[in-house]
Amino acid sequence: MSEIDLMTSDNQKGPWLSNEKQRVLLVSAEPWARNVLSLISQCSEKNIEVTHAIDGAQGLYYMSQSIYSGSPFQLLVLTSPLAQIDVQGCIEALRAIERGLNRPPYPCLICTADKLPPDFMACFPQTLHLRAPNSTQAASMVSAGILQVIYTLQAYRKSDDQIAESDFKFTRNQEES
Amino acid sequence: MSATSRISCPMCGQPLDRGSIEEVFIEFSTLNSCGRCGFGLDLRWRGRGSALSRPTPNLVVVSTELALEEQLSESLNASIKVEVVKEPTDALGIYAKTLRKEVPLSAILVTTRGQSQRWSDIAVAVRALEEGFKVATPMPIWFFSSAELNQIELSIFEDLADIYWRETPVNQENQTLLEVTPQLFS
Repeated sequence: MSEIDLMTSDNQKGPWLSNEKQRVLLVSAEPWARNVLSLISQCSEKNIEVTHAIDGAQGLYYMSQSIYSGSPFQLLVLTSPLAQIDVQGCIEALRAIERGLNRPPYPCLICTADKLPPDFMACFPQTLHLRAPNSTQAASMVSAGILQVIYTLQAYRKSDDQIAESDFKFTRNQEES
Repeated sequence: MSATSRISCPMCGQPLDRGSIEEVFIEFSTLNSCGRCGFGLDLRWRGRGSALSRPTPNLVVVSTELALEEQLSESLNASIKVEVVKEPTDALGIYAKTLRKEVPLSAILVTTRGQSQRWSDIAVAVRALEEGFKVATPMPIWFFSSAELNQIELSIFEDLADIYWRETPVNQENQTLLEVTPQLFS
């Protein structure tokens, strides 16, 4: 795995990263996720706290708890396969809870080798699906995509709009191929 | 056009007609809020809002047969408000809403899995929501179905509390629900 330098000088830090601690929830059952987690832990230097859930039920628990406690995650990253409830079920449940509570949708990044319905992203706002040929490549995509994730967080924070798909140009190329 | 349809939420513009106003209970007060954006409506709205607000259900039924709402309401105590939805995730949203209002549902009755991949998805999601919201007593979930569960779903159900699976004859799910539910809430 190539080293990714997450260190930046002070003047390179975005306003979002330089302030209070931000939270990311990674829902992944894959063993490689621990490597990803250790990599993401470098984000702590950037005030990003990563919580790891090992299955869909635990992921939904952390999401519900964050809503209940009023300290929401800024980004959810989900990879498949997941036990108990799969990625699609997780997103559907989360969006239903958000609708019920009149909350804006959490931005979600899904990285899977599964084929989701073609209208999935249209049905679920603030959701981006990165499709990998297999779960191993999904792992490397997550690793390589960490900086993209951080960038997305910054962009999301700044604009408070929907996640721009153009931020993930490489994704579309991979899906098309 | 009726007079009520011209009234809109001052915040989001949502027409405040029947079902679009929510009641929010804060200690001893009942306030009205817009069902779309949550904007608190002035007390002057209360009379109108109470008349238009959708009652908080006690019981949610997931079924493709919306007429069940009327049929079930007739056979149950008048104090039990029934709402029928088509998707299990809709029931989950209503449950989240009732938890926020601190008047949780008595039960969810499921006769269809809708677009979900598994029957167990709604049960797992409800229990995770309860755990996250620190709900001490799990809400019973009843399934009425002629479907056969696979081993994975069976093992998931075995790990969860207060999940009840009632086998029914094919295409008799709603009928069985109508027969059994009054006994559950008698």
